[in-house]
Amino acid sequence: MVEELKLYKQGAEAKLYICNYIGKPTLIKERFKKNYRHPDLDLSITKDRIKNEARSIVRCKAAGVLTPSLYLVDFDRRRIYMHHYEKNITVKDFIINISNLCKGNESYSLDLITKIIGETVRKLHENNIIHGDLTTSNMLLVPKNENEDNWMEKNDYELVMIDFGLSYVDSSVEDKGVDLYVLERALISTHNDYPELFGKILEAYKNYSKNNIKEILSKFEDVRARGRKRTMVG
Amino acid sequence: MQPELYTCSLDPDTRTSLKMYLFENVQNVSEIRNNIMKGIWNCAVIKPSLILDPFQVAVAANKAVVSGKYNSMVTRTVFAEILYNLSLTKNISQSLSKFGIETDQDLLICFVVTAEKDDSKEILPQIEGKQRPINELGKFTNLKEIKSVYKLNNLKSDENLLDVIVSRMVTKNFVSH
Repeated sequence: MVEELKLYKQGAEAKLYICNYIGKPTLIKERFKKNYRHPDLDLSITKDRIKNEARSIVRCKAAGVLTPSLYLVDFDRRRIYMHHYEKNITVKDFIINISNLCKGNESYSLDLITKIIGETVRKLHENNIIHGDLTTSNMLLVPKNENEDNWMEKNDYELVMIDFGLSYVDSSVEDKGVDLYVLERALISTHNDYPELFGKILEAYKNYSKNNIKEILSKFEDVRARGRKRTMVG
Repeated sequence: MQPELYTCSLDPDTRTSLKMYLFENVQNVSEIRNNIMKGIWNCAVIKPSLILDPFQVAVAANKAVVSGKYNSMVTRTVFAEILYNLSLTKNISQSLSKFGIETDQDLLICFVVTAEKDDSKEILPQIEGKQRPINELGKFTNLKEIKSVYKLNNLKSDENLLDVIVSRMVTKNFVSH
């Protein structure tokens, strides 16, 4: 019995495999060794990222943000085993193809999806979860009802947040501002044909909860003015 | 026909599978407990009231056999490790008493089997109780107790409870829940 792993995607940090594991469709995220790093450092970075990722995924669940369920966290094999959504599309691909996927419904779909994104990011921040890499590739749409074939056309989907490798827990408004800024930059570079996306997301972000919103937005404006990195003067 | 048992393959590197059966009104609970604690029987018995879905046990058993393979078990046997993995506490004796059985008469019994070795045929006939199909597990589940054990009372919704439970179980060694 040989383990049959199918390479699903490959990123800069990890390889993703899909398989059936303990009876479930499973995605394995394996953070491979980086030979340019000292082995001790490599191991400790990998371990930290695995921990961060798993910790945030669990925290999201308590916050009511959908994330893939964890089946095994395996430091020996540098892997996280998690639920694989067999039917899924990244928000990136959904928006790029929206004119084909939602014929005639385009603007309704965009309104809906930006609202869900804004509310979800707000839920993360309300629970002090900083994602660290908010892009439309790290957001998945999955069907609410597994048996519905036309789920995209009917806008019958839920948003699942993925890739928490750079995430951490922090209550500061600075980090929330930076998180929003990263999202804005990502939207500008990936979806420049829809310049209104970020504004709509931010609107939903604001409306979802009033708590601390002024401070976060003013910090966001600061970050926008200076860029992601804090100036190191003095 | 109703499925008598729950079975699933565990991590392929371990070449093991889990088999789990549900019994009610078991008369020889203390004998079973003794045989397990003395290591005469290689199996685990679990309180069905704390199990929402057989998959919850599969995740605990899988983690146990993987830890066994890498010599990183916290307890002495893979079966004690299953009970330990089910619980969110790092206290071994608390885990065993919470998820194991003491005087309860309903129980789940689990075996870790390989192609060569399967203890269930020998042990099952010695359980003096009534076997129930595994899909009746829901009748034995106590949601209130589960929510308290897995600290689920502050959740926004009761959907996806199983997801939250297994995700908390597999992260307990480095996250405090």
